Formats: sequence, C-alpha cells, structure tokens
Amino acid sequence: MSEGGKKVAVKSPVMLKNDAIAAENRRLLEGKGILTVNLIGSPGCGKTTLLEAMAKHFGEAMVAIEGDLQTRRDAERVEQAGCQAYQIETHGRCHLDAQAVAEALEHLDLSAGTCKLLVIENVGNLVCPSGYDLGEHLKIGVLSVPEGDDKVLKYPSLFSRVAVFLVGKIDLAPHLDFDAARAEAECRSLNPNVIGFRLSAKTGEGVAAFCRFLEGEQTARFG
Amino acid sequence: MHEFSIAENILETIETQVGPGTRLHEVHLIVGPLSGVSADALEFCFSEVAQTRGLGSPTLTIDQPAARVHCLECGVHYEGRDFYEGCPECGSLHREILTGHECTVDWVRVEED
Repeated sequence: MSEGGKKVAVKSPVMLKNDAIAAENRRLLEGKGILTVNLIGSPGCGKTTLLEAMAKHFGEAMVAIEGDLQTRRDAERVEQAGCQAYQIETHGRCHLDAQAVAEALEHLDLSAGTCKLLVIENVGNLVCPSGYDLGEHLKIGVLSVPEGDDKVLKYPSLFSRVAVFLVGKIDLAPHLDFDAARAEAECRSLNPNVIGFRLSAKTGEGVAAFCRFLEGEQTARFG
Repeated sequence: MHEFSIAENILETIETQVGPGTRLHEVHLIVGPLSGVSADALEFCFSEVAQTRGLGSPTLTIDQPAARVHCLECGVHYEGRDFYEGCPECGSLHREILTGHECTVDWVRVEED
C-alpha cells in the first residue's frame, strides 16, 4: 500500500470524457430531428438481420452505424437492404465509445433532412457496451430465443439500462424451451419501465410493430 | 473484457482533474455491481496502463458498495449484489434499482512537488 503523496478528492465518473462527447453527439442528432438507438446483443443474436428488415421498412429514412472488431460485412448487408451505413472496425475493442461514433457521424450524409432514425449496432457483447453512452436516445437490448430465457439476470449491467427489450428469433420458440414471459418479467425486475417486443426478422413477425414504435418515439420527440 | 479501456478512461478523468502527466501513488475507485466493470480485471491491468502513460505505477483500491434497491411489492429498501435474489422480506423480484451503476474516481494520492 502506497502511503506517500498528497490526497486529492476527484469524485468524477470514470466516463466523464465519454459522456461529454456523447452529449455532443446527441445535440448534433437532435438538431437534425434524428432518433438514435443503440442496439446491443450477443454475437449471432440477429442484430444485423433485424437491421436489414428495418432498412426495408424505413428505406432512406434510416441510417446505420455498424460496430465490429473486423470486416465491413455488416455495413454491406445493410446497404444492400437499402439504407446508408458506415462501418466502424474496432480492431479488438469489445464495445463502441462516443468518440468512435462522433467520427462515424462525419462520414454519413445526414444533411438531406430525410433521415429520421440512426441505428447504432454495437459490437456483439452483453457486458462491455453497457456502460458507454454513445449519444443515443434509447438503448435496446436483444436476447434471441436460442440463447436461453435465463440470460437477463446473468447480464444485469445491460438489461437494467435498456429502454426496450427485444426477444428475437421468436419463430424458433416452438422448437426450443424458451419462456419469453420469464425473460420479459426478469427484464422488468431490473427495470420496471422497459418496453418489450417479440419479433422475428426472418419471418417478419413483430417487426412492423417495433418499427411503428420507433416512428412514434421520433414523432413524440421531434414532431 | 473492456477493463483496459476503463483503465484509460480512469486515467483521463484523473488527468483532467489533477493535470496531465501528474505522477500517481494511489487511486481509489467506487464500482457498483451494475457498472459492468470487473474489479479483478481492472486491478490486473491498471498499473501497466498508468505506467504506459507515464503516470507512475499507482496502487488501485476499489470500494464495491451494494446496489440500493426498493421493493415495489412490500415497500422495503434493501441492498443487492446478486440480482437473482429477490426482496429479503417478501422474495419479490418486482423492484426498482436506485443505485449500482456507478464507476467513480473517488480520490487519488499524487506525488508532491
């Protein structure tokens, strides 16, 4: 134990700098009337497939930022589905931070006034992205049916912070022992105000309702 | 495992407060159970990251307070670390989490001029 030196009170959140940049991102996006969501879930839970389905619904009203360790694969998929996308390659980092999003925003054309929704697809991970504010209005957590209905309370740092809880790949529910009501109840136990949707990007079930919810949020905030 | 990034965030926060390049003897953190930060992993890498930034090799001490929770079923307030466990009075998981997300630099001990 080190005893020497002068003690100085700091009392600052560790995310001070990140949060300041996130607030700046939020201010910039709000100035353009763009609702921003931060989509967080495991690798392979269906985040990008959901974005493809959303791109078909929103068209050029949606823009995506894709976070991955490597490759432009996700941005290419979302572009092919019909919306503008920018890929962040983190080269090993397990989460996005506000600075990475600030840099990505400079590469996107948000000037036309057609963009109403920015979806930031975070790096596939249920822990590390949870503490980093990117400048979003809503954190959205995705748990897919094959992952198991017991995961919410295993990852409370994420599921206690999400505004929206998605149960994905719901088309697989008849084949697996996944109790969606249990997962939703456990998410509410961490966060009583969470809003839930069950959907399948593959069959389209529930996707329109989720997209309409986001449209409602955009209208409520920006008119 | 994002504690390397967290260590950098901690040191940026400290440098903002005490000035860049200040050599550190000790850093004291408060880390809540919902912060998503592993105290063990942070302790493992912290000194190395500080050295790389030329800030000395400070000791890291971490306070890990429980989260404060309000039971929405029976109204009791309790402390929680394990979110599988419900209210100690009535067992309910119907609850409001009041604190637990914090990750704060509380104080530091710096080299005197």
